[in-house]
Amino acid sequence: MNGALHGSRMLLVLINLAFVGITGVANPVWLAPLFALAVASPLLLRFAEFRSYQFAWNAAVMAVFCVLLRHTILAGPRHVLQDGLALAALCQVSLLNSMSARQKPDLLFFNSFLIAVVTSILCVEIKYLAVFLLYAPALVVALQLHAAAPAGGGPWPVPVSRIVGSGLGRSLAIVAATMGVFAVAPRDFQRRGFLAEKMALRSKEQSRAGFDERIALTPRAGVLLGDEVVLAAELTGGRRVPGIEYWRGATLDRFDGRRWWPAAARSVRADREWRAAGRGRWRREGPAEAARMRVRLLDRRAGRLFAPLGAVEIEIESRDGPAAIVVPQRDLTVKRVRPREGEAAYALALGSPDGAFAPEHAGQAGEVPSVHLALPPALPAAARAVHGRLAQRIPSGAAMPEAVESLRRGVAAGWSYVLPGEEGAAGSFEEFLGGAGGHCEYFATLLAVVLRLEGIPCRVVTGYRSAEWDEEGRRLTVRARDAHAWVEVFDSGRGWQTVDATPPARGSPPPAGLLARAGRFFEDLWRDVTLFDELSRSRVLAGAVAAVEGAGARLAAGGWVPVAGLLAVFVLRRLRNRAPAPVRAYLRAVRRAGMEPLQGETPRELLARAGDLLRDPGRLAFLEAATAEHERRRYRSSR
Amino acid sequence: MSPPRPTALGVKGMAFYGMLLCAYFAAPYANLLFLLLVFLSVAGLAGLGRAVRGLRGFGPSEVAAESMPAEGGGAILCRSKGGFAIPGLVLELRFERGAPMRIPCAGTGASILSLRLPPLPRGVYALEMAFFATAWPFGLFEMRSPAKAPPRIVVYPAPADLAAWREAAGGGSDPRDGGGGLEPAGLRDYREGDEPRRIHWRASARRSAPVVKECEPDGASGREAVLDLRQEPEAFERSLSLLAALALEAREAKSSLLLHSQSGSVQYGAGGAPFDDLLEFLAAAAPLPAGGPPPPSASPAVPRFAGGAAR
Repeated sequence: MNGALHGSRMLLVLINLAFVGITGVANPVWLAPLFALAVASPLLLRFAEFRSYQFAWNAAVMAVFCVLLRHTILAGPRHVLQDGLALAALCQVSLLNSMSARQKPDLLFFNSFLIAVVTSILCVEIKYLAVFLLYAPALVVALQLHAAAPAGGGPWPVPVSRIVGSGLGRSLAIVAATMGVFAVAPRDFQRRGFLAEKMALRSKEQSRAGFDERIALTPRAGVLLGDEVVLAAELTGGRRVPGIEYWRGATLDRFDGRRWWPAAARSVRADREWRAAGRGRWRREGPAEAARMRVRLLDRRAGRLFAPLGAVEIEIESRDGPAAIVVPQRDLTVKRVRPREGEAAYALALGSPDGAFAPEHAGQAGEVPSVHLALPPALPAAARAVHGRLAQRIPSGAAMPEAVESLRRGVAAGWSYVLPGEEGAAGSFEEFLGGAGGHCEYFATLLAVVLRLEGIPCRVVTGYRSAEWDEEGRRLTVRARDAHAWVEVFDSGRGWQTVDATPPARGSPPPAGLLARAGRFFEDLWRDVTLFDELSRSRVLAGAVAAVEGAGARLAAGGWVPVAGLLAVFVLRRLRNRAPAPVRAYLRAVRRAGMEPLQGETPRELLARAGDLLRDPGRLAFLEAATAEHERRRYRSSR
Repeated sequence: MSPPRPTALGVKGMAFYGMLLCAYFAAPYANLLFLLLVFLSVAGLAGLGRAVRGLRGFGPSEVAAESMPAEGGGAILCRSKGGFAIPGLVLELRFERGAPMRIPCAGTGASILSLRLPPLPRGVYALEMAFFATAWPFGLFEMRSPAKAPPRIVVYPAPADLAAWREAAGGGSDPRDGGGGLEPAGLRDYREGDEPRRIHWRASARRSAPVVKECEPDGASGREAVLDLRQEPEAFERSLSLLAALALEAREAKSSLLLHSQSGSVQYGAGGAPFDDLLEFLAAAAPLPAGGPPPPSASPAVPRFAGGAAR
């Protein structure tokens, strides 16, 4: 087989093996020999004409297929993708080493793309992008070499370097067009697919950091910490009250070992419920105002209005513009029913959270709904062990607040803060109990479980936590990455209290050096691709429209002057470089005669060539006349 | 120019694409799977778009093939308006019978290209059509440009070694002498460049120096031969090979050859039918059964190709 042809296919197979390697499912014990066999294929290919050699390869593939099939039967279909990937990699190496010159490489190409597809399900990290950027040009070049290869191994009709060069350029254009279509093509990002429930075809979920009314402690491939502003609050009166950095969205009461969700409204303990106080205004009894804030909710999809625990008054300000119908809840949160497009603006009056429960109502807290003490029937034994260990540190005779603080410190100090998808991140509550790191949801879950085991009623709260004040300390910015989960503990004397067991994030240092910054840039860019959704798409389209409008505005505002100048320069250069009139007339005549001049061909040579090609005497005569006229006009004497 | 048509790889590719599309809709939406599907779609469209432009400006084109000896291959001359510097360009010849033949065109920007036809068995190959095709860039779609081609390609019998035959036939006597065939016009001394088969051995032996025969291109002094089609296949092929060699020799010498056979007596060469007709006759000749009619009678001195050996 032609060396260039085989080389292109070998490169394709090596990249396929790299795809398999980055999934993490491949054992180096069998992947390394496959790499070696692929690299050694030019030497092994000489045996491809022997039937025994081909039989040996086919037998090896069949044997591995039987082993993997047995594994699937015994272990279930969970590993069908991984096993299929391993078999596909072996098939690629087998084809590369046993394909004779007469055989077509169709299966090699299809199998290579199939490996890329399956890998995309099992690996969504930046490594995939790196390998794919090698795979795309390799595939295009291999296809082009296949299309241009001379039959029978003869000389190449076109230099191989030219084929490879055009393939690289074409692959670049294809990848660029692919990204463009990917960014703007409308599609249903929420489509489930009719086989989703039957086979574990969904890859590890990636998610954007943001408010969620539920918590699910499941494995995640990563989380995108977006910087977009979701809430902007301005202190219009008073001072900052304690707890102002915690903006409550929803409370979650029930836990089944894996998920948190809110209980029915009637079972939720309420302190001072919201009462309507006018059109778009709600109040609840509490301490005197300590602060007023004006809030703009910029997250259009949020189904909640966020407010600190100490909010005693909410007044909706969006009367003329888009408004949201709000329904205050018994857990002191505010639900936004059927939110419309657009921002929501509202004003808050804040009191101290301690004032949420007036002393004259002490004793009414005797009955705490059992939902705030409920634990899942199948609570892992490790949870009780952790509780036992942490409870030993509670000082004897400590009051409830001290006990809560002791447990909180124990949880915060005993585990590491790790974002989903990072190394050491827990994929379940059990893993977190076993010592893996986790994010705020895990810390809140563990604290709530430990508190309930201790007999302290509590609930988990989701919302935002932000301390991003401006220099004057009056404006607070809350971003998507500030989404947070914490615990609220019910104190019979003071009501609900905020307790946060999440330790500060390790905080990765900013990348140093050009290479590290470039790596971080590409990682963020790749995360934007893998987490691309309707919001991202609308932003891309809006940005494109804004760019076009901006360019149009600049042109209208006077930018047309340099554009016109450039155009004039371009036209003048074209006119200056234009061929002389006799030459232009001659070329027109040549084209009318149905001929096309070749590069470097003189008129007489073209005429001689036309004599061989043109069968119409009339056209030949026309061309002869045009040639003579051209020579007369071009080279006529000046006398 | 015909619209692009999918190749075998293209058909399989479309089936593969359909399968991926089904998998895309069967599974939950995933950005990477959509990205790969878009990549495949864009690449396919790019391949199709480039394939459509693949032979733009190529035609009109023409193919000319001279008759060629059996199992020896021959040249085929191609002409095209736009030149042959197109990657993956092949010339496909489709015959009325038999499998089509694809010949890769390793050309440049020149508008004339000479290709080598592979060796073919003796016969007359009627051409149904000829076209140039390319599956550039991805081998998924093929564009074709029809070429003007001769109606047939003549593959005449591979010429046999006449010297060996003459040696065996006359022990040195030239069957062409005194029995029909070419009469030498004279003798002269051997000059460098003369063909060894023109050496008159008897005269050379007498003079102790090589002497060659000088022949006149005279149709009246042309060759003559009898071909009896009633022969065994192996002997028949040998007879045809010898006659082909005689025909080529006569053509080169610009003389004539009178051939008697069951098909009649026909003079080829100067004053008669062109030698190409004789070559075509030899290419298409088939043996007759033993009980068939005899060829026309001729002088006993005329070489006769019949039975098991040429005499």
